[in-house]
Amino acid sequence: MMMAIAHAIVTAFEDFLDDPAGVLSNDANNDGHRELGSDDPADPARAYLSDGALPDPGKGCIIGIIDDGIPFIHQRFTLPGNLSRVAAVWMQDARFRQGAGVDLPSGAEWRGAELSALLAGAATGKTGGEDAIYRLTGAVDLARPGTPSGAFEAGHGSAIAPLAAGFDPADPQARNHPVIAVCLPPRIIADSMGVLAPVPILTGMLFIINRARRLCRFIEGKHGLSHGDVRLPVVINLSLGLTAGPHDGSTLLERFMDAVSETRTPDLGPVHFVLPMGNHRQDRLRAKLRRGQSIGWRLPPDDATINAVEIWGPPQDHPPRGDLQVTLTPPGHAASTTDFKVPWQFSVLSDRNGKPLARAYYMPQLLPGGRWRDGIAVIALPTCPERLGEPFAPPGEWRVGIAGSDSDDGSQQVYDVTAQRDEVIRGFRRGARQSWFHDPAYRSHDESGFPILTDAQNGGDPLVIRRDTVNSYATGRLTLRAGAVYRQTGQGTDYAALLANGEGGDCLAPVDRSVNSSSMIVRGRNSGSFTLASGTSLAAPQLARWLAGRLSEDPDLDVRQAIRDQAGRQGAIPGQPPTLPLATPFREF
Amino acid sequence: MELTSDPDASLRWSEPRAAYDRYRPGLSPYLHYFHDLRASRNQAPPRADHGPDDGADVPEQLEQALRDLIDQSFR
Repeated sequence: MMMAIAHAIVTAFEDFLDDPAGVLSNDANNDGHRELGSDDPADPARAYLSDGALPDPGKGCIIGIIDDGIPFIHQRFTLPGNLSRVAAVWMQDARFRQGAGVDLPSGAEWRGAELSALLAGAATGKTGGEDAIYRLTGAVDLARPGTPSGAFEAGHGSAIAPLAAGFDPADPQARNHPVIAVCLPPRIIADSMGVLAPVPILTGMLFIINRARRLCRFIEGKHGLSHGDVRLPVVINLSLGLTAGPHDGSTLLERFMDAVSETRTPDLGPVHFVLPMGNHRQDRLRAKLRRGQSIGWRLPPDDATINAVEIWGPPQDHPPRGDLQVTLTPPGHAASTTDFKVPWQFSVLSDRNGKPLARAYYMPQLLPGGRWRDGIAVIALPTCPERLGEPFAPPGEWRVGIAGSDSDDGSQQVYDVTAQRDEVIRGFRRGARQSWFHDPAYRSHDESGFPILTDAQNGGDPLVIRRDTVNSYATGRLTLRAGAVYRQTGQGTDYAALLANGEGGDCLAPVDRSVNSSSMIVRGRNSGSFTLASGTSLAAPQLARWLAGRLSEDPDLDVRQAIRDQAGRQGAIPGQPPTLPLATPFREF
Repeated sequence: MELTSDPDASLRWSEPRAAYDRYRPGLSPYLHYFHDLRASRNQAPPRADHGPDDGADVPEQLEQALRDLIDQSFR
C-alpha cells in the first residue's frame, strides 16, 4: 500500500519537471526523485509530529492548505511548549532540500518534529526567531530569482492559512487539527491569469493525500494501533480560482477532486475540498451567445499580459468535428473565422504584415458520460509588449462571434463565453489589466447609482450575465463553494460570484464589514501582525475550518446535510444559503 | 475620431496545426502559448512542429490519464 502511494507522486507528475511555463527555479528540481520508503512514518528524524502534538486518533481532522507563502511556523499553528501542528509543509519552488522529500519533483519538505525543534531553538535563543526559521527552511531566500513572496509581511497565504487552521495554542481543539501545507511557486501567483496553476495544484493535492495517509500510519505507530485503525478525515482548502472554463465539472482538476471525495479507502477518512466562489460577478466576464451572435470584448491598452476568452458549446453526442468555430474582429480590422477540424489544433491570427495578433485553440472535452463539448480558447497578445520588438495586439473593442455549422437538430443552442481573469495579487508583478465584455443591454448601476446585482434586476435580455460566474475550479459535483457576506447585514457581498442557479454558494461566511468598509482583519506572516483583506478567498477557509470541526466529531458526516442543518441554527436570510458565524474574530486589545 | 474597419486590413488565420501530439499533464492553450513565448526569448527549447491531425487522440488520452491518476492515488 505505502509503495503504491509513494509511486503515485513519483510517476504521476514527472512532467511537472518539464515545467513548460518556467514556474520553477532551476535549483528547485529534484532530478533524482525516487519512491519514499514504506518505513518513512517510523523514521524519528522525519517524524510528522512531536509526541506532544499528536491528535486524538479518533477525533482528529487534518486540514490541508494549498496557497502561496503559508506562514507555517506562525504561533497559530503551534501548541504550548513550542510544538508545531504542521505535520508536513512542501515549498514547491524552494531550493531542493537534499535528503528530504525524495519522492517530490521539486522544492523542500519539512516535517512537524523538525519544525518543533526549530521553534524550541528560537524560544531558547539557540536559533533566530521566525524570520531566521523562514530563511533556514528555504521559505525565504532573497538571493534567488523570482518574487520573494515568503518574505511578504502580509500575503495571500498568510491571510488564508490561519483562517483555515489557526488556533490559539491553548485551544483544546487545536491539537486535533494537524496541518499539511503546500506553498505554490510564487510564479504561479504572479501569473495574473492563474492559468499556470492546475498542475502544481494537482501535485499539491497528491502530496496532501499521500502525507495524510502516512500521518495516519504514524499515529497508529505511536499509539500501538493496527494498520487502518486511524482514518482521519481531511479538508483541503484551495483559495484560488479562474473565471473561464467549461463550468461543468469536467476539467481534470475538478474531476480529480470529485473522484477523491467519492473514494472511500480503508486507511484514510473522507477527503473534502473547499473553494471560494470567486469575486467577479460584476466584472462582465461571462456571456451567453447563440450561433451567429457576437459580443464586444474590450482589451485595455498598456496591458503587458495576454487576454483570453474561452467559448464552450452545448453537450453533443458525436465526437468533435469542428462544428464550433470562432469569428474574431480586432479593432480596425475585418472579421476572420477559424477553420478547425480536429481536436487540439491551433491557429495564429496575423495581420497583413504577418504580425501575430492572437491565437485560437480547439480543445473539445470528453465528458464523463461519454458525450462531448466543443471548446475554443482565444488568446490575444498583450496590448503593450513586455519586451521591445515583441508583437502586440491592438487595444480597443474586439468582437468575438460564434460561427461554425448548425447543430444536428437545428436548435438554437447556447454557448458559454467567458473572459479569463487577469488580476494582480498584491505584491506581485503589475501591468495586468482585466479585459471585459461590452454589451449595451447590460446595466451596471441603476438610476440612483446603486449597483445592479442580479440578472433579474438588470432586466431585458443582455448577453452578459451575472449568474454562473462561479470560480471555474469549483463546478464539480462534490466541491464545497463558499461565498462572502457583509458582517453588518448578513447580505451577500456585491462582488461574490453566483452559481448557475443564482445562489451565492453552498455556504456563506462573513468577510467584509459592510459595503462601505470592504475588508476584514486578517493575520500577517509574523505572529502578532495583521492586515486588511477582502474577497471570497477569505470565506473558503472559514468553511474549511468549520467543516474540520464538525468532521472531528463525526468523520462520516454528510457535509451538505450539515450545512443545511446549520441554516436551521440561525436566522437565515430567505433565499440565501446558510451563513457561518465569524470563525476567528481578531482579538482587539 | 471614429475607428472604422479598413477593408484592406485583412487578417489571416494560419492553417490549423496540432498544439500537442499526445497528452501531457496540465496541457492547456495557455501553457502552449507560454512555452512558445519562452522559446522566442531563448529561455526554452523550441517545440517540435506537429501535423494538423496529430492531436486527434488527446481528449481520449486525457480521459485515460485521469483514470490512471485516480487509480494511482488510492491504489
